[in-house]
Amino acid sequence: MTVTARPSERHPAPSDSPAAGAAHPEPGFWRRYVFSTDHKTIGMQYLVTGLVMALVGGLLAYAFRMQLAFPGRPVPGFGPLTSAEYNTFVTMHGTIMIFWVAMPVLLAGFGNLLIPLMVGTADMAFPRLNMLSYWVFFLSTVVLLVSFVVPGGAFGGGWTAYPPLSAGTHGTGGWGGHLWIVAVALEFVAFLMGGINFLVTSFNLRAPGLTWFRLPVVVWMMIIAVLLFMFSVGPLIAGAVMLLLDRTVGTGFYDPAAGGDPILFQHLFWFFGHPEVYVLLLPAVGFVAEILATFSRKPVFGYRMIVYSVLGAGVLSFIVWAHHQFIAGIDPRMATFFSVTTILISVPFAIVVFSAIATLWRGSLRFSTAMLFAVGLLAEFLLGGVTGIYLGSSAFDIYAHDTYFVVAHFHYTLIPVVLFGGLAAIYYWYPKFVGRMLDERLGRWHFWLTVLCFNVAFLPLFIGGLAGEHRRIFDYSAWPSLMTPELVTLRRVATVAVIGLILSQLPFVWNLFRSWRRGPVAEANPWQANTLEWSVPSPPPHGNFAAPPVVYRGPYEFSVPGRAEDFWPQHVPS
Amino acid sequence: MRWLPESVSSFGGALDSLIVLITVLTGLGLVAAEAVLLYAALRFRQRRSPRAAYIAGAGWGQTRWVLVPALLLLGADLYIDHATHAAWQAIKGSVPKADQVVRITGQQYGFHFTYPGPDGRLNTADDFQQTGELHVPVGETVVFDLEARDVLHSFWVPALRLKQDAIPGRTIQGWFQATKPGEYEVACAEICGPGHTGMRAKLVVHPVDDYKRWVASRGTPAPDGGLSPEAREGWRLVQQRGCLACHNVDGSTTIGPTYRGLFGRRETVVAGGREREVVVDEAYLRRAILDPAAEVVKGYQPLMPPQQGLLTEAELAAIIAYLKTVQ
Repeated sequence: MTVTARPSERHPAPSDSPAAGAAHPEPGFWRRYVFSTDHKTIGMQYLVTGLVMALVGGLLAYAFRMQLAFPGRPVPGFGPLTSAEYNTFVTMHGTIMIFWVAMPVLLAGFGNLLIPLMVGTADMAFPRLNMLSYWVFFLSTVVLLVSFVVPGGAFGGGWTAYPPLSAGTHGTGGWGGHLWIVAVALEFVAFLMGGINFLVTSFNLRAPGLTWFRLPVVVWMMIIAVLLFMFSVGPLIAGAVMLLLDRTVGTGFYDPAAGGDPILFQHLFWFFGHPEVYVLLLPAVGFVAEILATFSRKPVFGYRMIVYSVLGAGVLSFIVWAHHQFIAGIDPRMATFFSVTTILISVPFAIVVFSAIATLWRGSLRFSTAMLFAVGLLAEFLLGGVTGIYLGSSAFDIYAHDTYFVVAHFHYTLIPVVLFGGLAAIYYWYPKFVGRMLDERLGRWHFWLTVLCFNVAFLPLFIGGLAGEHRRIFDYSAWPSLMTPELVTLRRVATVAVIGLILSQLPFVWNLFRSWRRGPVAEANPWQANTLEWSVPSPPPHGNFAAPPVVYRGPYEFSVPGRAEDFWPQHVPS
Repeated sequence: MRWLPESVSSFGGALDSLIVLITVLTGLGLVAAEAVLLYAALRFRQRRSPRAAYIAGAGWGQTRWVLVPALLLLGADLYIDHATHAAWQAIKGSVPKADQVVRITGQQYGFHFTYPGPDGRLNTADDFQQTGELHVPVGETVVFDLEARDVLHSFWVPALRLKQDAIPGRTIQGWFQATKPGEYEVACAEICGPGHTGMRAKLVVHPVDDYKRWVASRGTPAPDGGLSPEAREGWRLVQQRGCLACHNVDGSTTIGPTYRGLFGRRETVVAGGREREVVVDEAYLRRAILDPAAEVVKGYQPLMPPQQGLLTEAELAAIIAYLKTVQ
């Protein structure tokens, strides 16, 4: 890997940009769109792959929600579902939505698109490593999808893959599980390579004048997310390798009969798993910060306070993991420690959310679609956060663990973060990277339908969970207390709303395609924002900046008293 | 409709009060935060607020608007921690002196309950086992040893507000005291394979006198008298190997076909995607035990682990001899 310190030398001439003239022949189709080293192309590849996988994950949800709402009847489009297929579908839905949608869209996709532009450089520090990162990720996607069609089908041991069930000797053996582990491992290799790039680029290639506290909040959030990922993923990879060995060559790391311990895997998994939640959350926090500032025409409230709070929460996130295991047989004396740390983590995130609300205060709010989704994220995430305090309480988990209350809670955190956050970011930055504006009227329809269907789909799950609906049940007909007319109706309402939520994305998909060709042409800075990506043409040319930018101020100098304009881009000299 | 099932354990009330406490404290915060958010979103729209104020949120004068609410939350958090600790200690912190003991064993896909018999102690000759029903006396402290034979399970009784995972290789002790006679659902709350949905049992809380009568009858009545020694050995194996987790002898529908009237019955089986009729005879039983997935009785799922290599020829013959007697 050749590393050149100065960005301008790595791209001697931004030759394939129309703006820079045609001194060099443009790279061919393959080098330009497929095996590209350009961070923007790679970001788009991650983004598009993630969106396609969201469709797969959504269809799986459709199938198992239909089964839950109408047990015993064939699912339209799928046919009758067996209990083994049901387990497979919920397992793969969770796996795909977290690892193949949330991670590639929020972190890899937008991290690639935004970081080099926002720090003012031509590309990632290691462009070829970056390309390798995407193609390893692509391979992992193929491996995961192939696992659906191997004999025995895809893995069905739950997305957390707890042994001994996942260790292969009790009903989930075979290639589906092997491939699941291999796919997850490959994916982590891909994100590690991407993460190295994120760190090195934002540490070493910042434009002159771009001090740490002039970085856009979203870059901070990406850096912290990558650090959390890197520090936590090692134990999980070790755990996964041991699981694969147990499955394939007959070791007994998790087999008590051979001296192993099934709980070991849970510790390794959740030591990663809880920081991972914030790996997904933080990029979305960053999107919200950028969008709220721009559309409130106000600085982000408490920039440093947000960064310090998130750093604190990041540290704390390494000592909360056993809250997933309160009733798993850990020593009861450990529960209070993990309960306290878990509930305390609400404080730094409350500071972040309250700061976001304070950013709106006395602003001049413009409710573009991006702004709607960002504010929607705050409104919905509050409920997800509050129910996290319930589940942080070890005693409450004696009742609620493994019920739909948990399912409702994490969908109220992850859907605002991934769906609302991802969509806000797409609406906000689409003009920058596509060069066309999205249709705002379709966007508003998209937002309100999504909000409505999301709440109608997931609020009933809290009620079902409190009533005693336990998770991963394929057919509640066997449970008289869970077949009351109210609960049956709630399950059907939730299912219809999930279908509605999927269909609500149609205006969005149509908008993406139509605007790509026919949307109004986007100028360089359509939202009158301050950060560096808005200083270059839309879409930015290969190599991004015609001349290396210099930064003169922080990213959120909106409505500065005494200035006629209500924004003040970072690169404009005073 | 009530939010939670009726609570019938000595500690259920403490847990329910904790839920109320968390709901009140966090609910107030949630409503306040949503109200401020909604107000800000409506009040400061561009139309009503054409020019934004420059407020960077630095210095105590500004950050206090965020930090003071966060401190209030911290106070609420600590109070919830305190109440949580008290409730947790009361339920899981220590195991009180037992009035009754029972061993609970999870297995794909059922719960076995081993009772100490008249001597009140487990692991003695007069222990007896029952699958699918846990019988306890009301108002007495029941201490259980929870185990798992194969994979993780979770012993969950919503009405008792009690849940505890069962881990292969470990014995986890817990306790409860039921406060009201009746029958309550027991569920497995941890995914344990394709048959997880059907993994259930029944908790029967008896008035004390009733319970004594039940103990005297030693739970499950022994199979009809006059069994041959071979069939009696088969009955022992069917209990010991956990067959009753999925098959019962009372004729009701459960995870697998019932043993009652099985021998000689005509069944429709699905083999290789096609249905056909078989008469249950010795040869069929042998195939169905050794390689159950090859021919699955219509209406059931292929869940049973193959017993090839797990049973000796004599054991297989004994089980078949026993099955013939369940008519």
